[in-house]
Amino acid sequence: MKNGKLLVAPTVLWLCVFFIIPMLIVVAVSFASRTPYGQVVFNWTFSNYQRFAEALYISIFGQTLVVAFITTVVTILMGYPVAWSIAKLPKKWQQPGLVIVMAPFWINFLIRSYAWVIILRSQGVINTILLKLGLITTPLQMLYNEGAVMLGMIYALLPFMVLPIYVSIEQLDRRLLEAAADLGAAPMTAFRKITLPLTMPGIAAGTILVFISSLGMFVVPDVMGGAKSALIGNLIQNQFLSARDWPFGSALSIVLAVLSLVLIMLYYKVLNTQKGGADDAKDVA
Amino acid sequence: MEQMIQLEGITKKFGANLIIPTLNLSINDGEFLTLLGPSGCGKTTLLRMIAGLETPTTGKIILDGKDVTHLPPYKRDVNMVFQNYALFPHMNVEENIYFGLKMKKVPEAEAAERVSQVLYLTQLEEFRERRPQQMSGGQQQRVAIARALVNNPKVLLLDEPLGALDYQLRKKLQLELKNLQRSLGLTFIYVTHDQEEALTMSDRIVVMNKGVIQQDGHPDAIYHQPKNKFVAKFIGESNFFEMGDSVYALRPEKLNLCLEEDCVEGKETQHPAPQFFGSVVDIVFYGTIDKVFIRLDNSNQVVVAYQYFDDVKRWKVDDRVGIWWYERDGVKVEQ
Repeated sequence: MKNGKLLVAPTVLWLCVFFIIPMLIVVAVSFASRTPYGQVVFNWTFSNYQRFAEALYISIFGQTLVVAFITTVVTILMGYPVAWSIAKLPKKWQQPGLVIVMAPFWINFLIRSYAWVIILRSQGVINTILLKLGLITTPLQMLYNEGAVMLGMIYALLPFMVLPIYVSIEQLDRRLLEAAADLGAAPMTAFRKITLPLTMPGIAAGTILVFISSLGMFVVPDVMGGAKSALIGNLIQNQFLSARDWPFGSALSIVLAVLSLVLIMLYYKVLNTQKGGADDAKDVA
Repeated sequence: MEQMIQLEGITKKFGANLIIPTLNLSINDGEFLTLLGPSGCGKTTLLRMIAGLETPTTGKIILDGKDVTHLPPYKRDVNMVFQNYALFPHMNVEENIYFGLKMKKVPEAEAAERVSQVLYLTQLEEFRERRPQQMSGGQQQRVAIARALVNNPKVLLLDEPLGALDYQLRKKLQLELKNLQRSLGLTFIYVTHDQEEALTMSDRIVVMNKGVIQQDGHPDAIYHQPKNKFVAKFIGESNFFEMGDSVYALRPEKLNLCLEEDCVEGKETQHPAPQFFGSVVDIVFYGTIDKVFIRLDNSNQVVVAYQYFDDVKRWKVDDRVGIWWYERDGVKVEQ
């Protein structure tokens, strides 16, 4: 224990108790099967993973990926301008700006989802106003479809995109933009050639936060998607709560986790080749 | 000589702060002009206005006969070397230098030719592929110069380009920069607060304080005929002597000392009679010289003179001395 290895003991212990052991339990359960009454029997079988190959589950997985992908792209497109305008505010207004972005977190997420229901449903705020104005004659169906799910996801995850992008824009050296202008770059070109590549780490961090969160999201599809739109998160939730099939739920969780991991690794790989290993260069210097 | 830049009635306010009250200045083609002054004197603001990074509150900026006052920086034929280089960290040396040429859509063959030329000129050929973070301060500085020069600007603007470097390197790069400017025949506008740098490099120095030009002239004139107290104090060392209604500035190297008993009134001397008497209060070793500090009898003011290593007379603390100078060396300055 000469090298102070004991100092990492609390961290190791913490990781074991709250992360590694629970994870191992999930892995173990995923290889078990269940009795008709939902009891878990450890008989080490692959059947849970084999079940996953059914067309139904594959399509749910595929749909989850599509929704997560669209959510991520839209939050980037919406989040970047928001982060940009906060970073361009005078210093004393930046903090309040960030607080406003985070303010929704002060209210329980479930309640916020129901608030969307009140706004969007047939007798909801929007429909009532449109009907009163005579712009429509029958209420618009805005809830319980994929659009509603997307809206809910984007609403819920936008702050996770805004914050990391804000940080990277805030750290960007303004003099680089002056240098670009001095060298003949009009503002849009300077944005494309300088700002965007240099704020890529923020976009990357936001992408990972949003993408992973939207893969596992189940409250939004539940509340705003109705029964029609099941995503992988709902499927897993169902296995544990309604179907009482913990082994299959565990197997789905593991597949989801592995898939996320693989996607993140791929993503970083692509990002790194684009940057031409700029980070490696930094390490040398 | 042809004029390259004319600043006509320039003023600049930041909010309620008046940084530059009316200023006029012409800069000739091919000139190495230095804006010299303490920090906050408006020299960098002036440079940034020429670059287009700031807009003057009133007044006109004429570049090579064309009014560019309201032209954005990316449409001006000037380039700037920034104080901390502002190199693009996600591009290597070559890409940094190419940047301006790409923006101006210079044909590929010509661009490649010009890039290799400046790489050769700034001795950066072997660093082509390096990223700025992998280079020393001096090398980064060269990249910044190459990146500006490659665009063949009408004027190169340099904002304290050597400020972040150590003394030895600074000396070396001062010479390199001066030679580069001379061989290219380019107009350089150089901002610095380092008076030594200004004196060694410039064709012409403009000394500024609080946004006002204090003196504008050849380095020799700035040093030997300072117009006012500020210039005399800011450039080199100066002693001030009040004689009647006038103030005279004298460089320490122009002051001569004699032992009081040898040159008191009535004594025959081979030099002009001393104007002031005092006591030596301190002697400090400075390498090539010693500085001798003398407190004057009548005013309690401390003045400084030099003692050279080969001087026969070595002064000691508490020596009583007379101070004399040749009339041609005293410069009458405005307050």
